Amino acid sequence: MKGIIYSLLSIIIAGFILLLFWSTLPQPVTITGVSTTTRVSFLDNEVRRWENYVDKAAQAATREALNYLTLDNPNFVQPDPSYTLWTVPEVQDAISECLQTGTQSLSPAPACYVDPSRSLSGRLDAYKRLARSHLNIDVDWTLGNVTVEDFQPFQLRVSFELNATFNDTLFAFWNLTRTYTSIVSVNGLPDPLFKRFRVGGGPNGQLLDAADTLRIIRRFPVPRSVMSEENISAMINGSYYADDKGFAPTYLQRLAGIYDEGALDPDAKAGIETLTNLTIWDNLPGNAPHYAAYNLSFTGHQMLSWYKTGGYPGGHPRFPCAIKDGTYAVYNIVPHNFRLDAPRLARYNVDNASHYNLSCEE
Amino acid sequence: MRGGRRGSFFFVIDAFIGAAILIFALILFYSLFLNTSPAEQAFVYANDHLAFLTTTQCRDFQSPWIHRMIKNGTIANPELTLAEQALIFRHQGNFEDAFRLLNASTSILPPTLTVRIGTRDDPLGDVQLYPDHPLAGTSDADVRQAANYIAFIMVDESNYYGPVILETEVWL
Repeated sequence: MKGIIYSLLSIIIAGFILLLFWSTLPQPVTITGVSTTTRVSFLDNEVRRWENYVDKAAQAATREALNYLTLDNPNFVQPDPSYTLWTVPEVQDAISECLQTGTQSLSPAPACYVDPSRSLSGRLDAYKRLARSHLNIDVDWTLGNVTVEDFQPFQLRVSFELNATFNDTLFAFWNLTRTYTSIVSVNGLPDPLFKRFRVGGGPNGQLLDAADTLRIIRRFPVPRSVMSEENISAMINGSYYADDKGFAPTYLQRLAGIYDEGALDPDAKAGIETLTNLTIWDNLPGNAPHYAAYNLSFTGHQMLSWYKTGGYPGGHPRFPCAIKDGTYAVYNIVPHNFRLDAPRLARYNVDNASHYNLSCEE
Repeated sequence: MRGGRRGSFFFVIDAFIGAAILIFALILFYSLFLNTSPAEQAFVYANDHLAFLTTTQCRDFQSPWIHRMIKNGTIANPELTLAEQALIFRHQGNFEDAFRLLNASTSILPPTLTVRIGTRDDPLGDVQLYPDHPLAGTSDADVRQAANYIAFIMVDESNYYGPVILETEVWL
């Protein structure tokens, strides 16, 4: 009798010990023949890679949308300069819709027909398919509101909320809801201002047609991190920038057709410009070949200011002379080393034309 | 009779101690993973190596050849991971450098590991980047495990590449 009791006792104690160490044993439940711990660790890594994928997918989709809106869309060019243009919020909505699905229907703006597989939704769907076939993971996602705004010169900020679930079909389940922020460069894209105002025929149209081929470029980039107030003041004092004009329009403002400083938001922090090499213009019919002699360039703003006011008699761009106490007009153009990277200080008129061997004319 | 009872008592105690020792030994074996399944080993190897390729930046990898490529501009952004740079080489059709870049990490690998790199619906999808590997084929393998990286990468400010699959495969 005692033997039986002791035997039962020993079995109970052995069971207790086994229970004590149970958590250290590998769990054999799997799809691929590996343990739960390993599989969960793998899934955790994959979620981190997913976040990187989402960031790059948003960048690529935004570039696709911007490229289409400014380059590939024949309806984007307005035949009448006085045509009611988009407002900046409308531009933001249009880009947002376009990058999400490849289409948008803002009226009277042109429709966006980016290949849906190259939109953000298309890229996320591609991930979903590949995750199913290569990773044995079911991924579902829901995209929330997408906002687009200027960030720094030559950069946009795209923010969106994304809910995603990762399901290992057997035991692992992740549910993430996060706000993602992607920074998208506009370098290399066409300058929207030229696109918006391009018209055919006549010297004016030819000039804008020529400028239309130009891309946004960064010249002598200066990182924002090194742009102190002292550095900016030194540049102004060194005649790099005029101090009596407003800010250059941002990329989104340029898409909305804003080109003159009077309409700019005083809080704009991301003004940009495109420099146009006047050699191109000199080769156009009806233009005297003298601009290139100065080895200088116009900014998009200068050109459009002239164009919007109907041009100047003689067919050449002219601007208010910025020389102190002057009452002249001047070919007030900017040197090739014009810099635009200083936040809030992307000024575009030279304040001392004589410094660049230019002349003012009555 | 009394001696017989005492004997059975010690016999039971002895059995109990023996069972306890056996269970402890089993637990120790399990907890040290001495009996991890081959499938699990292969899975861990494949994922560990993939994690290495997707988290190690080019500039941090100790390879004179890679540092030469950074210096001469072949690798434009040294902050890219080995996997991203290999995929960029592959996108540019530069299979030789893609091979060498991934091959540079073979010294840390067990001898049974291979890496395949390819894209979905791509005829080049099964480009094998370790052609001289001691294990030439997988036909005799008992276990095959693969880890896949679904990548979408920025080649430069204007160009993106993906989605593309980078696969590390292990067979035992």
